[in-house]
Amino acid sequence: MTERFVTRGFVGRRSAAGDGDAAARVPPGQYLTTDFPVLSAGPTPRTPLERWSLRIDGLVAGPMSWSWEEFRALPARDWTVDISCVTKWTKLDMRWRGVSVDTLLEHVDLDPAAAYVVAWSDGGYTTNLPLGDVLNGGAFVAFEYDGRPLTPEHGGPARLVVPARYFWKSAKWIRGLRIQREDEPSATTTGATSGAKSATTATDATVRTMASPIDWQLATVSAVRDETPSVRTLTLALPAWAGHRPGQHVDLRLTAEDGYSVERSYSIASEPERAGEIDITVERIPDGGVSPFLHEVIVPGDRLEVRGPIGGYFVWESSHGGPLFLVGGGSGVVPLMAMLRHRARSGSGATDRATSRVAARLLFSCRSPDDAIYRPELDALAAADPDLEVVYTFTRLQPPGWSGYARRVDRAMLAEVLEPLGAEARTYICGPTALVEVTANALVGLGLAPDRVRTERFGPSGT
Amino acid sequence: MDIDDPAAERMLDGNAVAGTLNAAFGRDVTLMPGRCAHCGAVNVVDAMRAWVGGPGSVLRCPACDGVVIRVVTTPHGTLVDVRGAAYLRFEPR
Repeated sequence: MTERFVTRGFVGRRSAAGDGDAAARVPPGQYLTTDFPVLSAGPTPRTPLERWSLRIDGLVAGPMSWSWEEFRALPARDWTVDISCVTKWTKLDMRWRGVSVDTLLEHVDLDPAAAYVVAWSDGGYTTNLPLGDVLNGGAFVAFEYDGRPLTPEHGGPARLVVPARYFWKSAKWIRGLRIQREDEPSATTTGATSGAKSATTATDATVRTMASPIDWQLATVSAVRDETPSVRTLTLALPAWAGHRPGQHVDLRLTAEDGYSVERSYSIASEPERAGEIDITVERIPDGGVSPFLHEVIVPGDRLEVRGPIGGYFVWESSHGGPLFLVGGGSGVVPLMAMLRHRARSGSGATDRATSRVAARLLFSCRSPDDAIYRPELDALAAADPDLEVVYTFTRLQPPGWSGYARRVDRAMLAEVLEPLGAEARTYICGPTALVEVTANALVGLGLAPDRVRTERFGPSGT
Repeated sequence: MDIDDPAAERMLDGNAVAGTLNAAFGRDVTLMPGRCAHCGAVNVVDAMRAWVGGPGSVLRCPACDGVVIRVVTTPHGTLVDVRGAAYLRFEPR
């Protein structure tokens, strides 16, 4: 693997195995966990048992299929195994009950050319294994964990368990095994987990040519500013920066000395008119893998790997025109701030019709005034510009004497705030999924054309 | 998808995998239209619903929830499965 830039002071949110017996059983590079993490990409499939079946087909004389009752009537046994996941957690002594794959294969006639098995699951997940890995007690189809029926979140009603392999091979919601002659790459959809790392190299920021948005660049943290008790802005100096558009984001990559790395996406908070540097605004998520590091360890002078700018969809520039309607929830205001900062720099006001600023309104939902990121700057921008209005809704705690909105964004509120702008407004909504869904649906219901409503979701993984 | 499903809050949009996809394709793909092979709806990559944090990432059709694109990064390269797309349209540059 190529030489990787190591981020000073980054270790990631991990705990090493304890001492004694447990430590000896945790494979090298793994970390002990005592809980049972649920790592799925996608919604949990739920197949009712009366429609469930387990099938074996492919390179067999005749396919075989069991209904749930038939499957449960097969001989089953208890298994106590250690499980390791490629995301580096290991759980010792997991107690399962299930049917050995050997037992299942006794019911079919394997073709002599059979060499691989593709396990397929509800939700579209497939994983492949050499046949040898699942024979001779190597794998089982589990229906109970820790004495209880396997829940859907953990792959129930039945999942494959292959203890000798990283846990992402242990397909949740298994519905069949297809026997094959050849290996098939198991690209994934939903199901188990793993984390894998890309192996691109960083481009040193001292190179004079403009860095490409698809390459990693080295940025230097030139300033740090606290916006609220849990939100801070980092200014990143990027001499090779080719510029960006308001609403775009960057990916950040942090790498520990042992090669462990994580990536996160952050919207660019600053306007493109500020050359050679960008601001990112990061909310500290208490158990986050990255944001606590960016809050507690990073100091000016530190360097970070950055890739971007990225995004062509959630972008507004003054040339797009308006009116402009922005709806932000919590840290979702960050890309909207880039748009407003750009708007403030790109119009000369009412004196020149050709470049006057479009009418704009920001509806900003925060828990409390203390959580209103950029509030002083927003209020100052609005005070200086008759065409800009910022409307707050404080959902948990309001300032004394507050007569404005004090609830979550809903259709009635949107109708009122949108009204002066009209149904031709170009709308950008950013924040948690719930706010985005409610707002987008309400606005389309209020007559806005769907292609003029753009959304960006910030999830827990976005910070 | 049902927004009361607790998994819903982890649903992002195509932006979340845009960096990886751009690096794989060598160009910006966020505005690349893709037609869902399941229902025929056409959406740009950025508008698709993204599920990250698995062994790879999944982009689902906003209309029918069908999987359109799957992306897995490995030490040996990035795997992109577009069987869920009837097409991806690469606009001329």
